[in-house]
Amino acid sequence: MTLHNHKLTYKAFGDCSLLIEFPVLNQQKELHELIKFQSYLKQKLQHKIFDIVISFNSLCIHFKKPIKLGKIQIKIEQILSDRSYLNQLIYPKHWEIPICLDPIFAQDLIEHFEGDLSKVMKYQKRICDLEFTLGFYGFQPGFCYLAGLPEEMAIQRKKVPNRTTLKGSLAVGAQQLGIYPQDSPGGWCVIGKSPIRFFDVNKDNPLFASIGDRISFKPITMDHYAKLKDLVELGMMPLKNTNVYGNN
Amino acid sequence: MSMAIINVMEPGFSTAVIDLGRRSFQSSGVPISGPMDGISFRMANSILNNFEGAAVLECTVNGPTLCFDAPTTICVTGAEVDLFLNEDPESTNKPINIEAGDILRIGNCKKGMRCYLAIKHGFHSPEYLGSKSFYYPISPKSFLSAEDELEYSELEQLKPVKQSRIRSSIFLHKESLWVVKGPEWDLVHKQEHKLINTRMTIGPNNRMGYRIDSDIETPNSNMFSSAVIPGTIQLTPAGQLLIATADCQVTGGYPRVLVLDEIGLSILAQKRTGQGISLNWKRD
Repeated sequence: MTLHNHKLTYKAFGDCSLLIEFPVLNQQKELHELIKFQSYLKQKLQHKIFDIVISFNSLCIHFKKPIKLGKIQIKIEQILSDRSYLNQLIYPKHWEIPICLDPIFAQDLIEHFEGDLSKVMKYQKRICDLEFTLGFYGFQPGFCYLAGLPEEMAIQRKKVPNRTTLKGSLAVGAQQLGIYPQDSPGGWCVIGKSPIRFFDVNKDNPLFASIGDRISFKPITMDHYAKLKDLVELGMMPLKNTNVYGNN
Repeated sequence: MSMAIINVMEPGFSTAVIDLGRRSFQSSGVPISGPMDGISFRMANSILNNFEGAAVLECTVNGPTLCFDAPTTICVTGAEVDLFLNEDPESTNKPINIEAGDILRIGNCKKGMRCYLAIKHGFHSPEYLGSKSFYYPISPKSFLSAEDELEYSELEQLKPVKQSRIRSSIFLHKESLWVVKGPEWDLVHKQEHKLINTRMTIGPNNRMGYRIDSDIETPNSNMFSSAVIPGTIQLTPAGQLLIATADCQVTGGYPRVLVLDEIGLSILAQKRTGQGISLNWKRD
């Protein structure tokens, strides 16, 4: 399944934004294709747009000036049909993120499983055995949405959000996994906490990883968590990444 | 041009440096953080003949007291406020010349909720991701505090100020906001009568958004998160309307039923909790 085979829906969103919708893409290959399309469009439309925001089932182009839906749709369809976007090169990396799964950081999950700690640990272990794809950023600065959670592991969003979800929390919202880069109210189920700084506005690129990168989680003890936290406070980035070859 | 300093004597309820915001970091999850009332923002800068995106102070509910250490020209637009230069009353919507040592006090917003203080050549605050707009944690703070300093350009020669002033913003009285259909309009089109041409009351609000109670039934929808822009009217599971404004999230998971235009956003930004509005279709 590739993007140009899907039925796409084009909608005007306000005066200056174009929303393109498609069926949910949560396979790594499909997401990489979407990212290629986004980056190709950014080059093609460079001077006419502010940014392009993608999600698992949409792509939204924020233009600088008001648009005419029919005209712009024809242009995008041409870009899609000539398939040059598929030649865009992306270089995904693999990140291993340390995560502390101590019950103190997993109160939401414990509540979800009604206090059954063996179910909690089993769920956490499955998360650490899986590999995810960073699909997009949204919600708040540096909040990443990860794809690759099996359907049966989905946990519904809370009706009444937590007042504060702590910075570094790894959380599940429906079939999406996300990491909170700042303390914020949050309706997702927290399953653990990482000591890493995921968004640093003092860097040229404040993000730690790029969309399309692969992410996995390595469990660490409370002691290790505290040590890494100290390093992060000193401005270090104790995070490993490796290049991923030959899987476009 | 040499650099001059404003000393913030009183910060006001919530006063922030604001420019046109950061529009090219939405794909990193960063909100735009432009002005809440874009029309008053533009008017303030154009009265001073500034460039379009010059940084101003956005003052909410009541304004700051500021001491200037060098001559310049300023202008206040937006909400109707009490304005004092060295304790003498001054008018909004016209240029005001400032001398070294002058103290400007912006009082309570009497009609409307936000006023804009522009200064010749704009405030020279530090930029974060290409914008001077306050938004924590992109900028180190959300609001001014007492004893903060703001940099601006000293004017060597002040031009005499014409006494004429622009008619104060007529939209402070307006209650009708123009909307167009949002991407998920189809989910609620049968309840149009509960949304359009109906008086609604404004609930809790801030720079991220305005909450409005409604009796709309929220259809079941398990949406994946998707793009949100300022002006987007979302329907929450509890049946509230949530109008996204300047500091709104760049993506969200609630159905986007309607979208306000910039004029509508500017009218809304001047309303406070308990006041009424109605949504009306925008004609082509």
